[in-house]
Amino acid sequence: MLAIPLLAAFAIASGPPPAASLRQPAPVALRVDGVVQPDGSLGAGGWIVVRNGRIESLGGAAPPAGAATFEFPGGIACAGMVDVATSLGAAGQLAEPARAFTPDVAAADAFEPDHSSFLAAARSGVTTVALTPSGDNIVGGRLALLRTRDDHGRGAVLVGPGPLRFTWSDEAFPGDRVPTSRMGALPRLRELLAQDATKTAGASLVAVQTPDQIRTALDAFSAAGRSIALLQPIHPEDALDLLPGRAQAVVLGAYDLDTPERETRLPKLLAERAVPVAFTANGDGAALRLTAALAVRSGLDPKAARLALTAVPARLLGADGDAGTLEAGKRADLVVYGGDPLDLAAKIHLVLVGGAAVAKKETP
Amino acid sequence: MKKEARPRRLLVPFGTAVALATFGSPLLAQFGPNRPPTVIRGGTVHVGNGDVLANGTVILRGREIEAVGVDLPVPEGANVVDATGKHVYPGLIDVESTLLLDPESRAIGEGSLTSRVADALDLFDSDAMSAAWGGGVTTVGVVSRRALFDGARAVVKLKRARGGDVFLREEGDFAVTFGGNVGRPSMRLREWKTFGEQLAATQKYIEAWDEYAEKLEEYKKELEKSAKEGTKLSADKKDEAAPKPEAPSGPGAGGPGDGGRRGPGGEGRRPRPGRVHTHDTPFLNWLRDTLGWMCDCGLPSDGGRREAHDHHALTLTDGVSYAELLEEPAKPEGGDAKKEEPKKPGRPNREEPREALRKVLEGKAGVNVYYGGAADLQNLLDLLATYPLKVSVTGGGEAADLADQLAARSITVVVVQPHDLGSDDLDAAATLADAGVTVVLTTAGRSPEATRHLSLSAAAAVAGGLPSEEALAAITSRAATLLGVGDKVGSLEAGKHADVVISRGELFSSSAVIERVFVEGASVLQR
Repeated sequence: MLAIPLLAAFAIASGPPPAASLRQPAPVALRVDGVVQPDGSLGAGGWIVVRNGRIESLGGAAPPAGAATFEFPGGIACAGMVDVATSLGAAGQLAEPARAFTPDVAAADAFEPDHSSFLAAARSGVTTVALTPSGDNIVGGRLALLRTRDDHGRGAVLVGPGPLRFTWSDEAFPGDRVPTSRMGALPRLRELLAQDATKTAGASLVAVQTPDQIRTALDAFSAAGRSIALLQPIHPEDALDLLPGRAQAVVLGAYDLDTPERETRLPKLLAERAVPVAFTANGDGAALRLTAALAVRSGLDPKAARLALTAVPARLLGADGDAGTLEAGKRADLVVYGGDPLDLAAKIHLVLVGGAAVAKKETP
Repeated sequence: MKKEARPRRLLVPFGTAVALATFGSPLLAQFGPNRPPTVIRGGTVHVGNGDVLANGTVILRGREIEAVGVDLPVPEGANVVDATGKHVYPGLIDVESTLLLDPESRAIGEGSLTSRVADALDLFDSDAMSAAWGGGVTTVGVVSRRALFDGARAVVKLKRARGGDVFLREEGDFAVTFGGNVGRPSMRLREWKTFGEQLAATQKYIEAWDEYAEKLEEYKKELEKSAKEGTKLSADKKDEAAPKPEAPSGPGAGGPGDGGRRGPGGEGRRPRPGRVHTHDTPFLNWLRDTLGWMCDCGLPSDGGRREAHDHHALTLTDGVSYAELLEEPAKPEGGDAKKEEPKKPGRPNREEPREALRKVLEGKAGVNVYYGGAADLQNLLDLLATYPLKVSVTGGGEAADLADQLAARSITVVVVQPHDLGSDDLDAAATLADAGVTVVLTTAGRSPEATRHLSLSAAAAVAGGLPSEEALAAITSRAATLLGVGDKVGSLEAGKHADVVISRGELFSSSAVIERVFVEGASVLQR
């Protein structure tokens, strides 16, 4: 498909690594001036060595012999962004709304690898996403973990049956099917949570809105010993103190310039209570960065903001063994920015997904 | 604003009295007009016009900047603010904001040519002001874009309104909005047609008045002459007759709007009255429905105005072409004038919407056109061939296609920065600037929230390739020039308003923290 001309265009247009070289067994070494550390801080740069699609080493003073080298003066390398709730690559509806509980539904079954949204996501710095069932059902089904580019320039499934998506907000209680109330839904929910089949790596993603929904969801999931991440709560202010220790993370976003400060302050309030935050913006890296920037302007610690784009969502998806931070041995999903990833003025110089460079925009 | 002037006069002497009576001079010195100068030193001073002074000093005295430079001596008794390691900027300017605009005026209602945004502002919304200061914004242009015409932009200094004169300009340039209407269906074709018609009608209106002035002059001369000579001049009684050069006889006697409908003076004008007399009720109903339909379809409310006096007459008061279908004998005016005296020319009706556009056509007021795409810009450029308006455009998308023409005509482009860093338009500002177009950046937020993020918005333009000092100028000095207040605000230069922002970290970095904001010398934010 488009991949080959695009890669060629990339090589001509922008200097940095021709993708082909990055996929060869010979290592590729990238020289950057800074690296976002696993704790989210900005650390010293050096050489990053990539071999066989994985990060071999970081921070070296010199590139290994025989490596193809690329230098990014002023560049800061960060793990590729991860988004836990997207419809990227969805072919058709991401739900089976006739029934309220559909734990067997897998988003991977609605996956379309050639979807153009993957290229856009990868270019914007997003390397791992979850294709997430929509919010029509109380139990919507399993997320599919995807990488935004495979060796053939398409989206690819990393893990088919990922974490489960639940919806505890009004959306999943349309009134024309049972159960019609949360009280009515809880027995069935508890029953499902007790089954081993619904246990997954990562956290269950639970969409909630009001403090009362947050409370009942936390109760049900912690009684079953399940790890829970709250998805886009709208008014969690009054429930903030319920969250520490019980919610693995809260997923927020996307924000734009018109988002009221009452909302953009939430990440800060959560971080102050040691509740990790992950940002989501349907796989749009630019919107993710804007969301993070707005949260930082509203007081969120920049370290927490960088993690909210990378490590926290990776952990929620159970993908932190391979993605979310730049560490030796992990998959080479990385982005080189012209500065701090949180600075909107910092351009993206390079995106690697599994060690392969993503082509920049087509040159006309 | 006149309203606030009075309390201020009352308060200041009272405050002075209290200060003198209780604390003596220190309080007065702190808050009164003679407060000691403030010296901001040690910081990296971004002047706003492209210059950057490392380790610069900014001296504020009273409401103005006294001096800006390197190694300036500190005046005696000055409050010294140490800005070492920090960045000092002029107060930022968001040229297109909805800050302070009351929510109802933002969302609903029809626009008109004569409305003034200044009248719909809540100048006491201190929360909104604090939020803007938090983003380093000290001046906003407030624009309403509910309809094709929605009145004049207000330029507001964000300072406590208690007795302060907050308007830098109460009536700025006119907002004209294509395709961007909120809460009202819009149709490009119709909007351009209406815009063109309004300009044409206003042109005729101006001509009618010019002609009137000419005739009046002539009439005065005639009057003098007849007084001198004592001769009788014939005056034509018939209203529909064209004025005879030897006997000026009421060129505008036809009543409201006539002048507007006529061609320019001199070409043997025939009155085309805008009134129909008929007792044919079905016809009247049909007429009313048709005109109503035309009005609903986009003839602006101030344009195709119709007045149904009763069931027998319907008066059209505007110069749009459909009025020419209708016939009615012109209203006689000065009909009792004695035959022997020169006839005073009829005065055209003063129409406020026309007066508003008249300022635009005569170059006394600017026009800001919000456009939807390159096609709109092309229409505008075509229109400018006929009407040399002082115009700026807001939008940014697709402007790059016409960059050379925009540069050649010195049309400032206000780029509504896409905040989507992946957008294809991200480099719009940079491309325009490279082509020599003056670029101003704005949030153009639909909500007042957006204004505090002006610097983030500009940062996205930097990502698109605009150099950062250019981006700064685009939200300071160039923004001020666009708003017509470049002599007062927009840069850190002696004599300008003491609106200063001190930031920890560079303004375009997300982690920048605005630590202090001065507005007209007064500290309004400190953290």
